[in-house]
Amino acid sequence: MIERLDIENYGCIRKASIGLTPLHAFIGPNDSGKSTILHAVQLIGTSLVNPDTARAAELALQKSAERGMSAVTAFSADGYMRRQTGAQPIIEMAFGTPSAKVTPLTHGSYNARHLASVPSHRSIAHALAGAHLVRFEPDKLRSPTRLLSDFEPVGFFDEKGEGLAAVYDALVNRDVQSFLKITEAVKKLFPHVKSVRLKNPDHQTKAMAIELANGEEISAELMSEGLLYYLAFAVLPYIQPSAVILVEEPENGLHPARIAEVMDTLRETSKATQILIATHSPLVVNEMKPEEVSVVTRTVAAGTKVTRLSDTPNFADRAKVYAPGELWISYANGSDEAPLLDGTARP
Amino acid sequence: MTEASLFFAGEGRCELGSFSGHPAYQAPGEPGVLEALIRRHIQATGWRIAGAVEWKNIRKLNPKNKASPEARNVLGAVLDARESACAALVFSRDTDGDELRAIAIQDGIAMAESLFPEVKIVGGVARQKLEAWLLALLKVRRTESMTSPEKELELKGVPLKSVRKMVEVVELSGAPADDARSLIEWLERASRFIPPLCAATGVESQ
Repeated sequence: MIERLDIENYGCIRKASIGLTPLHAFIGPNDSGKSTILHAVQLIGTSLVNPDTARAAELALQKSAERGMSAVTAFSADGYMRRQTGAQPIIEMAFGTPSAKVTPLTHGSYNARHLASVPSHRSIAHALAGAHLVRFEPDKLRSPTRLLSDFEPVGFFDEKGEGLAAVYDALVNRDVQSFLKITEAVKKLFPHVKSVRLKNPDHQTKAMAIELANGEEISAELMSEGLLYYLAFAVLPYIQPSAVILVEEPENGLHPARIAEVMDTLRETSKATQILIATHSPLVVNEMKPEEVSVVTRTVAAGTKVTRLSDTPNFADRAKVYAPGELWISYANGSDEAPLLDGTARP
Repeated sequence: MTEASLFFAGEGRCELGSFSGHPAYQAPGEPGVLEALIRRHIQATGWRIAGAVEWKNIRKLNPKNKASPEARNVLGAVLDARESACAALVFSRDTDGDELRAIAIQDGIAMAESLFPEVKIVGGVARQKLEAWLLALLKVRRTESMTSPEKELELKGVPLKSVRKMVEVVELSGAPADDARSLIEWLERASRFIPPLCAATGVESQ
């Protein structure tokens, strides 16, 4: 698990040090840097672990270089991993069990096999064995997709959720008990649903479908967005490899009464896979513990600032009255969040 | 010599006067009925309003909270009072004929006194509406059973929602009709807490 993340000069973030928990949410105004934090984790995870995406990560850093920054990757000797661009940008992560002395790797050799071959790097390699960003979109979740081959890990084809049907198909073939468990949860939450089905629009693709209690079959194109979103979140625990899952606005498209169930799913998932969330929903935040929530703000003068909700002024008194999401929305002003961060009166 | 700081809460302009609305626009000037009641019947000077909140501006977004929204309103207001460094929270809440609301407000007061014992609570329900209190101050009896006291009040020359006229009624009033229990209890609570708070700041009761 990543316990601390330090970011310098990446995207809109000048310098930030962020303590993390197994399930952690970032809240704050628009354009404060919440998504940038998730992207930093995604970038370093994918570039180091997956040789296929290393090039894309390098290109992303190249874009930074074009704005006056260069990119070099390095490991420090104390269990911290450092992606360093000459002097900047820097994304640094601290893990639960710092390794013993870590031998610096040579530039260009950063991949999972190499990391795992160095004993002191194994924990790092494990902790970053897949950093999936998800920002589900209904059209992508609905679309028929090719199947996953037996050699491919269970996972979406992109961050918007393309491949949902392929993921369920793989689950049926590789872990049918888990598929049945999800189906039971869906039936409980959506009583009109009798079963979750997989259809073959043609001989090369699969698509989601459901059977209603009255026997009617509903194709993916006609399924509700709420049900599609739920199906996508419900399968997250089975994504491979999945050391870190980064979730952008899990509340999108969900009925408020469904948010708690999705958050229950994410909390369960976080027991094995760290989940980092960017959200604007107080209902999502209500489902978190205060220490699992960080407020991200950005001003021209101070740059990006990340503050644990439990470290904000008057928190002890405020928490007597408000749940975490209520507390946030009671004191947020949508810009610098001063009433929340400075302890001033409610706006 | 300093004044005791009080925090007010209510439904709107009738209760709060020019301290209603968004904090940025709150200011002394036009008193509401609650301020007038305290100045007329409890203590004219030695205290000031340091802030106010309307019930609708207290956030309640946690469906898992089993406490009544009315009780949570009281808790939100007392927290605002504490954060404004006020010694007391002053409020009234119309029952609008809902006796469960009266119970919920009592629960809220009990919770607030337990969680924030340093903030005195001068609050309670107006049975059934604030206008019934004004009628009681005009010596009208059985006001607590009136479902539309505002109509009776109009017949007495106080137009609907006319804060200035309402305050005039208070400023000219003596003791309320003796069956106006909710108003009498509210005034008793105010007289129990506010004079000692003012005395603690060095201001004599007037």
